[in-house]
Amino acid sequence: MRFSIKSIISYFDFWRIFVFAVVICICSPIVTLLFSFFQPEPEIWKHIYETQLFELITNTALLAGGVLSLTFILGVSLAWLTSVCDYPGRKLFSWLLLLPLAVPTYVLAFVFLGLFDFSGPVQTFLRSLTPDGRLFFPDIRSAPGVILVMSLAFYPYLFRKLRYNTESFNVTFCVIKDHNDTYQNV
Amino acid sequence: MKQVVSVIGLSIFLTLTFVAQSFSQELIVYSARKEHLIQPLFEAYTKETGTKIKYITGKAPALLQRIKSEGSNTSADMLITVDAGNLWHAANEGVLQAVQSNILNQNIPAHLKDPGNKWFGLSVRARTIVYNTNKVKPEDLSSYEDLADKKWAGRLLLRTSKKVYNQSLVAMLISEHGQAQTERIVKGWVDNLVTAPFSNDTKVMEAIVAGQGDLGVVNTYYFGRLLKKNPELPLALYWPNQNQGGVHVNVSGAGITSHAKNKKEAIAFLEWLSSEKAQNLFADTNLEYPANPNVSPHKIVSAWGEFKQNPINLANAGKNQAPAIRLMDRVGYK
Repeated sequence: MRFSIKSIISYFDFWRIFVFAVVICICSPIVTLLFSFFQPEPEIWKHIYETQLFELITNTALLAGGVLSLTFILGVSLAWLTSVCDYPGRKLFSWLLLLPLAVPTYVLAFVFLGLFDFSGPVQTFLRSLTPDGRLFFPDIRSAPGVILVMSLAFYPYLFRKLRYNTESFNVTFCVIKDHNDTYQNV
Repeated sequence: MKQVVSVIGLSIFLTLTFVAQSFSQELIVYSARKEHLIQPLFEAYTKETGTKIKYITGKAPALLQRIKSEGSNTSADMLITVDAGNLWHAANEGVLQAVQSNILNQNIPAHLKDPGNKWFGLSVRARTIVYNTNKVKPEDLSSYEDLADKKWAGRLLLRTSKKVYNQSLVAMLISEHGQAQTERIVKGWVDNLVTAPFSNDTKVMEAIVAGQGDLGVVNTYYFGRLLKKNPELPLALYWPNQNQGGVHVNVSGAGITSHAKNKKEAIAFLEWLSSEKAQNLFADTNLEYPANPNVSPHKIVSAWGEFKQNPINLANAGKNQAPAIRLMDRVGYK
């Protein structure tokens, strides 16, 4: 293949250059961050390695696994219950369950913390019911607490996808025997 | 003809505004202290002297970075920020210049300003012990070091070590006791914790009120704010280390930028901020202590009683910040 000036000019046509320019703009902050890998500060890395690194990696793995599992359980079971089975309020639930999409995860976290922490209204009320003011209540500021909050924020994505698919395929998922002993396809 | 008239008119207008601009004095301030706390001061100063003040507010590290990257083009004449550690960083990064002023030297005690005169503390906040009056006898309390004692096991609550106030507290302990002993003290705190550290001082106090723990360490103005809302809370402040050292104090303060365009006006404003008439306005809006010892604090604040401040220079909070952070990481203070 021969390079003519014409082919080079046509290669660098306006839109191509425009797209490259936009991509460079968008990527520059990330690239700047990545470049910091080439200037490691051994003293700081040593400190992080000695004090926090393994705990952070374990926490991340725990969080990823936990959120994935709970999101899967919530998303699949709720999609199943609102598409395969029929009961009063099914329609209502099928869109109510999407609402957490509107709440950013960190806002949900603040709400949970405000409600369920030791000094929050829920635990304060429950303590007032016990004779000695003592109460066992799982700590919301913990790994399970974070997993719960993040799963509640993320399950609607899975839920929506599954709901949409089951509706559009219109297949028979299960058969429910109703009270007249007749079989009903759902 | 019409065009000529409008061109002449426009040029007269522009010339006039330029002349007006060059005569009225102006000052540009970057502030990490919250807008509602500094804006009344700017207004009062403009009213008194006619010097106009423009300002932007933001987080301390972001403003510092901004002044650094603006370099000699910076429009900032003055940087106002909280925490001695932040002020020390600004001086250390070279964005502040030394100011020789008898007025400032007279008004601000030596331990509350940079030894090189690059920043000056303007209001003082004490980081002290707060306790539940139903559960702790003040006689049992004595010092920050004592909070590491086993008698407080399962009773202590702290804010996160990510907060610069705790980094400064530990940094100042390092300058007093050295690293090894400070590490033992902070380890003792961590062993005594009831629950993971909280995200802010108010949450620490709410947990003490709810009975999750019995005592904690907070800045005085958070205590003031909470008590203002609900005076019935069973909380009280304790002034530790009165026989040895003194209460750990921190400042919000200011310095003149290295490339200030209006240096004279900026110094005059800084001097005014340290003066008796401005100090109450500076400290009282946030229930802090005036840095100028000739000015008495707000009624609510003085009701908490007098105390001896730790006289070690606050520049140490910056100097020992990195070792303090590492030390807290090592003992698992999160």
